[in-house]
Amino acid sequence: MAAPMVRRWLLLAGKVTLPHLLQAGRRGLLSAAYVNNHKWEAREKEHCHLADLASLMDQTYERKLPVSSLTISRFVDNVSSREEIDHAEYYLYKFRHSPNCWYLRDWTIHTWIRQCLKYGAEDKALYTLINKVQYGIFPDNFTFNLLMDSFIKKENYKDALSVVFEIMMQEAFEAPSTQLLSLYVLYHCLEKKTDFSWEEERNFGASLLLPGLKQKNSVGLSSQLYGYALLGKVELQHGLRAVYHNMPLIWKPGYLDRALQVMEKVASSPEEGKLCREALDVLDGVLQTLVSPAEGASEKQSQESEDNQGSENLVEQLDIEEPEQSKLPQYLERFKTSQSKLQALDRVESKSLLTLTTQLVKEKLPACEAEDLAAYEQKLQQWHQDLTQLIQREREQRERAKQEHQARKAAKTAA
Amino acid sequence: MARKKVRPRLIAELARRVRALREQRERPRDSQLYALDYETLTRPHSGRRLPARAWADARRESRLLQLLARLPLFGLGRLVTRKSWLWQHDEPCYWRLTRVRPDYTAQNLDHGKAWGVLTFKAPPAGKTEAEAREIEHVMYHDWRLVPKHEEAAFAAFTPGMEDRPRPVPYPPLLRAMILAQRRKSGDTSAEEPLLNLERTRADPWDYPAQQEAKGRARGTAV
Repeated sequence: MAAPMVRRWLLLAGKVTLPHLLQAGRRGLLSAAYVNNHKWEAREKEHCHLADLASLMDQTYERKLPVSSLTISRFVDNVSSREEIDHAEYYLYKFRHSPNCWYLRDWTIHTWIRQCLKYGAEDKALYTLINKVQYGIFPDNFTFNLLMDSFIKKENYKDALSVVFEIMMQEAFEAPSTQLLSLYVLYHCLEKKTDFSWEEERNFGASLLLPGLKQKNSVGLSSQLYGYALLGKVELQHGLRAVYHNMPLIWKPGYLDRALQVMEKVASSPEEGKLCREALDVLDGVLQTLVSPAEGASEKQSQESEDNQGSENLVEQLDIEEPEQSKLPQYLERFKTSQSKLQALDRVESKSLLTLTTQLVKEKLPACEAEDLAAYEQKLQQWHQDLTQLIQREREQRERAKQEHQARKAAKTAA
Repeated sequence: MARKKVRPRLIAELARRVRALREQRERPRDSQLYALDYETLTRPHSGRRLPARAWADARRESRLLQLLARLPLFGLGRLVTRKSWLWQHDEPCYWRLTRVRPDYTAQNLDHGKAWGVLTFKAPPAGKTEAEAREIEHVMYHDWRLVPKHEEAAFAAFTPGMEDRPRPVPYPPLLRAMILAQRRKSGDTSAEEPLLNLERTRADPWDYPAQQEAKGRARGTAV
């Protein structure tokens, strides 16, 4: 009974605060109802002394025994100042390098990010997120949205971009709210700067591709096109391995081919989807740079690391039946025909991608936020249940250990 | 000949147990056993060099846990393939992970063990196993992670046109022998004896063996 009313109040609150959102520069994209931590603060938590927990963990590590996930979750729950965040980071590192590293709980990760945001340690949160291998921080989509929104609010688009790249590495673009926020951040950064190193281009390509595959509208289709174009450029300039190594991308060659397939699919499908002129221009630019200074590119390649890259390219080229370089004229022709077809069918959107994404965010974000909030409440309850179960199990184990110890002592005194 | 009574050698027994315990405690972990010096491609633990065909792969590809350390829950439920399977077979061959136990002594958590369900080539040439078992060759530099948005496309496979060989008549002498045996045993069926030409499906050479069956060197010298 209470939950639907709370939800209705939250929806109303979201709608009321919406008009003020995108005007002032200091506001993030998410509504205040999403970002506030009343529900999280209102959860039941155990109050423990941090120093006790710290000494317990140190003793357990010295004796080479495993630390339970309950201890580390209690520690992160009870952080109450900026210095204690540093201590919590140290213990998270130690937990990750202990036998129980697989068992780090979702709510611990969520609490850790929330605490960092509360005590103004966003850079620490970002650092642990980027070094997720060492700290084991794998947030869910709600937590990612919170972190990204805090960076958008401070207009720190560089850090927001790092967060988007982390989401891409974890392939966590499931929720539409995450997809919309990340696309907004990506297009914002692409507008500001145009020259990138090839690693940045590759990251941009992958992060545009993955949410673009999930969104079924013109923004999604244009993002797919943009992503494939950037990845095709990296593939032809630095080899296929440079594209897929340590990235969530497939090792099959032909990223430019897939970009052209997107265009042809839009041209031939009867649905409403349009492609942005910006994305088409980017693909055009990529094809031109790859076709015209073909001699310049090969010179540059021979000047760079000759042995390693040469032998690697050789191995990769031996796999591929027809090297991509030879298919470039065909790609140019296909591109020109598809472009004229799209213009004839009036499927080319002339507004910029950033305006389109902002519009989409304005339209769709409130609905997605409502879904996310409902899912978050359910998750909070689930976490609470799991926590109580764990505490129960710990208590039972302690009692059993005590009884066994007493039995052994009685047996020793009897004998 | 009557032998003298053997005294129970308690100290030797104690020493044996202490040595076994110490061996268990100080056993080399996966991260030490499988560490690799990438300049000379030697394993520091045993001092041996990798075989020559593995040198290119050791520089380019990654071990399984190196890929899984970057994923939430160490990549449970994801599909992983080996580059050697990709080069060798057209049909999809992959492991679907069910359990991962990383080696916590590794600095980057890039060694360990994993268990999963194997699908080796789509039927009829291959099969999907029913039970999860330990993944073989986890430490080889040969692994690739299938991205989530490509999983469906990767696992789907349409078998090509297979010409099922029709059964063929026997050579004349064998046919005569079969017919004579039929007449002797009183079997009066008039059908032509036919020879089935289908191949016996044997597992390919790179089908993963049972990892549990392989043992480690046990015991102490004395």
